[in-house]
Amino acid sequence: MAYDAMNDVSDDALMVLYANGDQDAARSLTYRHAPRVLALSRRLLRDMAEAEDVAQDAMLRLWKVAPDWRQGEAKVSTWLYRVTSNLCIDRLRKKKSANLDDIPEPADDKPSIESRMQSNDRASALQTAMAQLPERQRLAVTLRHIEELPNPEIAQIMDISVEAVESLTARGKRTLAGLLLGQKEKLGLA
Amino acid sequence: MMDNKPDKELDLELTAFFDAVKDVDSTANAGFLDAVVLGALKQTKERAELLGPTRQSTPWWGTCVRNIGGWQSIAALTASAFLGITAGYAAPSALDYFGSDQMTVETFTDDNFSVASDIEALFNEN
Repeated sequence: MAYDAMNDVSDDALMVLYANGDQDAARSLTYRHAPRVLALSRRLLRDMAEAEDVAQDAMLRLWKVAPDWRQGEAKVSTWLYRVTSNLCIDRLRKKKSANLDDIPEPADDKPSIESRMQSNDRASALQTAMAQLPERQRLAVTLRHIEELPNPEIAQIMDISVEAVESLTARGKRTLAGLLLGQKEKLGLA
Repeated sequence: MMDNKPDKELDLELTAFFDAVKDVDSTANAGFLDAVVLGALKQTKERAELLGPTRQSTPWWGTCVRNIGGWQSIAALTASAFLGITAGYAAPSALDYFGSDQMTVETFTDDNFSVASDIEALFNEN
């Protein structure tokens, strides 16, 4: 089947086609999911090269699991987000343990955030503030407010309850608000 | 305090920041996507190699040869068949060639219904 003709084909069907050797199905799955996987890992890791590594790794795991993919059991996007977020959290933890001294304390980081806000746009201000969040909060806020996933799907991805997702996003947003809203005027949002 | 604001109000105030991030990094470069597709192709090839060649690539006679035991078995069977047919058609005297002096051919002078002489004697004695 041609790649263009696969726009209406479901992810589950594409997985079966790919498992049977159809490379157009792989191309279709790649164009459908890889950009979002890359965006998520980029937001969580804040490093493009590392984000591409993680996204490729996640996609490779998808290709490997394709022959054993059980239709209707999980959404491909949910599975990918779950794998990606786990890979990112692993990397963040390794970084943390390797460079513990390099990680600034949130209270002492305020002048740094302000200086970045002066030179960066709102997006980089938010990314900077997001970096201050604990990794689970960062993941929940990213999935909820940037990827715009519903809470039940985030709960599946993070393997926690919907209530826990709500709690994580609420705490994350409060922290973000504390870091960002005082700077609204400088960012042209007042 | 910022902490006391309700969730909806916080959402509204942070929306501009979230929208800005969505606008900035929603693209993936073509090189990255090509690398992912290439990964899929490699995975397919690796899987095919693990599974080995398919049965369709072996013709029917190849399967027969394999079932019999390979070309060596075919050669042994052919040689045996040739010797057997040769021995069957050849005159008895010609077979001396294989066993030279030690090879004898037993010939019977009695007819096919005669029995050994000692058994015949037993019959005669009742």
